[in-house]
Amino acid sequence: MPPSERTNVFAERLRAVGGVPHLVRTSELLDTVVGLIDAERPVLLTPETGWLAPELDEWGIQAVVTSAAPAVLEPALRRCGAGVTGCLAAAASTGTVVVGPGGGGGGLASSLPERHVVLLREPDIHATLGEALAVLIERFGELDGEAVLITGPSRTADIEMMSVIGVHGPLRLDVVVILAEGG
Amino acid sequence: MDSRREIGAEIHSALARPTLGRTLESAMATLGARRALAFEGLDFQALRSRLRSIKETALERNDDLLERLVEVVEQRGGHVRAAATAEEAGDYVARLAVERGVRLVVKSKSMVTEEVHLNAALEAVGVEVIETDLGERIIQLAGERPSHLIVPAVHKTKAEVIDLFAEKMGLADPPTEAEDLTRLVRDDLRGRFLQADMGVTGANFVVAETGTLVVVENEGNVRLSTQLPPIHVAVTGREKLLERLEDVAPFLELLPRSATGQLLTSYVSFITGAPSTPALDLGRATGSTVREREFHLVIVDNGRSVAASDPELRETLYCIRCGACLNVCAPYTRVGGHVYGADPYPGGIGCAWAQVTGDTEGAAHINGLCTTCSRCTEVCPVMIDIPWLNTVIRARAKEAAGLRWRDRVFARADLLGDVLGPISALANPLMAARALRAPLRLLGIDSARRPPRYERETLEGWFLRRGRARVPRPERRVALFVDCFVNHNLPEVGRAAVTALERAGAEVVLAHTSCCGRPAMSQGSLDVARGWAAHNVEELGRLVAEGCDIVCVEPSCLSALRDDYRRLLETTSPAGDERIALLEAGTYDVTEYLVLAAREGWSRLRLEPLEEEFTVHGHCHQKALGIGAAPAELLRLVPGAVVHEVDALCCGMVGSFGYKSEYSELSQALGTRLFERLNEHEGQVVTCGISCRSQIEMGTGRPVVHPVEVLARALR
Repeated sequence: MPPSERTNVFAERLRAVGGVPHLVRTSELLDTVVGLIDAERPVLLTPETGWLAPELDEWGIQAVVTSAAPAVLEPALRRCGAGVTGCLAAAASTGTVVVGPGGGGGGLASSLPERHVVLLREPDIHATLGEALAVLIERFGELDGEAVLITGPSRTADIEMMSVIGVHGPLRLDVVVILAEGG
Repeated sequence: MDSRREIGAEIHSALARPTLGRTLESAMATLGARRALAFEGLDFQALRSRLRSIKETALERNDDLLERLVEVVEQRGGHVRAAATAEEAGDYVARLAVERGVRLVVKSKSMVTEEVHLNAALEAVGVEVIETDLGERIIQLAGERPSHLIVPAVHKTKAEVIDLFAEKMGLADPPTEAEDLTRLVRDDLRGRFLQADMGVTGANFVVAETGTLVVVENEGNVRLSTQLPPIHVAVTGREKLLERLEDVAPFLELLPRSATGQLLTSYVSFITGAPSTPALDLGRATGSTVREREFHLVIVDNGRSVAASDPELRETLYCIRCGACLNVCAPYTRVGGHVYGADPYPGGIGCAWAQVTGDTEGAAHINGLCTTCSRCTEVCPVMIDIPWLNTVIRARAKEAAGLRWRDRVFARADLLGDVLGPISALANPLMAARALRAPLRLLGIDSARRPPRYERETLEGWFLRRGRARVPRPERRVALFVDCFVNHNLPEVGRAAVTALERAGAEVVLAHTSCCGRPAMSQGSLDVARGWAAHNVEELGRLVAEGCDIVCVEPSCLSALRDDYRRLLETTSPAGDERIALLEAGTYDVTEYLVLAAREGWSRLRLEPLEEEFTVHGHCHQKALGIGAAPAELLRLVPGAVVHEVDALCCGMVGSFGYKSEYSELSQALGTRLFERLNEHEGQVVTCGISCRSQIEMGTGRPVVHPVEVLARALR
């Protein structure tokens, strides 16, 4: 099934704020994620995306889950190149993804690495920010009070109002949209 | 040096900085353009009345919400400190840092921490504080204060930032592109994030029901400050409390759009207590003894509770610090935030915050910078009437210190006319001679500025002499409000208005009730203004009840009648409210009225073609009342007229503002920006206000007329 109109709007808005959309079928997901990752550096996963760890291991990529013991997590945090998280919802009108703790530590995986890769299921894309926020509010109880709306990579305009991408947060935001498949 | 001279000197030195005006102007143009795009297709009025009502309700319930918040946060293992004063807030965080052995604090942008001087409190106990927002970091390295609510280093050029980084970071060959300068700060501060024992943030909203902070940002430093260091301290004002998460949603529609013209910022963090991951040690400074994750929330009062029960100041507390008001403020965009010495909030809203947080001296010092043009109120996402707050604060300062002679002179435009009009043959040549005006300096009046001419025959005198014109089968009955300026200084404009209205089919009488009160309000003489307002509500209200429409020639008077009386008179009775509502609904600007007449189809105006160009400067009060397009629309009724509308901020004259010694230089600098735009077009300059008119005539040497004067020429 081709991407819906709403998905196309989301992709367009995401590009407008400096993010990069990847519209893929489920079968292309792993290759896409691997293609986005610097194999030389550890990858942070949340418990929710932890299923990727053995797959990435086959590619020789070290993956560390954010719920790991500090002794394992801390060295990975110092060296990590990318973080892969899921998301609760997205808003097409603004190109926003709503990211929860993903079972714990989602905040680290989405803020510390230079690159943040988000896995988004197409049906989770809502038309407006208000609708995406409604999902956040409805599910707030299960999020341990922790969530973030992410709209593009980190940016600033503090020097002569010139837009610069990449300050303290990720320099790059990739959203892998897993397209709904018919049938 | 007295406050008047001091502010004059501060303005002078800001105007003397060669790059400041241009840097600000270009930044504001960028923000303005982004804002316009972001608001396309959005029902701003509906959204902002919703935000306003959420804020009003939340503030009414502030005590309950705070109680609930404390309960919820403590249940989750966090700590809440309600700090009554700025000192208490600083002491709490400093003591916590000492007790936990904190060595290094990373801090993300927060105006409340500036307000309570948190950095000084921490540094006093030997804790190092690093500002991590790029703009704040620039300011910290430069040893300055933020000059804007959102873009703290907006007054600095890139070249200045390069020099600053080179000096402070010891770089022989610093990068020159904004991108590389930003990357330099990222690399420099990354290690600090990892080493820090404590992260300090502010909060844009605090949700009482869930104990959640909502923090809006672009750079990711709020996220790192709250994820990495084991201790997170959030410092915020108690007015930030909302009841439910649902209440936050509409603010996210307007806050980023108003602040930076973004549909949404890169990050909006919802933070409820400490993160679930255990405390990390990524290389904290030696000597650090912090081992556990902790969350502390400091809720600052610092005058807010008192302001909440002060009906005049209360609306300051609805402010969401978006900075939109600054970006359209004529004085701010020319001199920048540092001239507003009040700590730390700049601009007209900063004056109100200074008053709320107890810095009444600071508030009085910067108060006169507000020209009451009201452009800020048009863009405020919570509809704060910032000029009114400034008027109230001015009145309170004058009450405390007493009115000065200059205030008394400028407050009584009516008396000036009554005194100088009859002796105009003597007064005009005297006042036209600059040497003879020199003594005005003693009053604090710039003697280089030419005062308005007074006419021997007032508008009223002419009307009496002429008698009421008979209009056959009149379509409407109009009472033309005789304002002090049209009556004494520009009766020809009044005569043109009467003629145009009569020819349009309205029977005209003059309403010479009393001064509108605007000049008295501007000088902080609210009692005088209230007297006039009450009188006008009574007298003009009677005319409206008799079936007259009230029509004003001077937009500033119209704005007083239509916009200010309700607040000025603070009526509590439904009958009083009704009388004011009657006046508000029955009062028009003369250009608005004639355009409406044409649109409604009752106008009998027959206009000859005028194959001429007209360049229109809109009056701030017309724009604020939503009738900014009327003058140009009226001119376009004239066949053959080519009309250019100039897009500019306030002309800078603003009644007496441009005559005051301390503001005269700023007034002329503001005028210069307008003159450049006007001079891009040929043709007759047209504007409605007498202040704008004299500012433009003095500044460009081009004659200026009111739209009704053009109309009178075109009458068949």
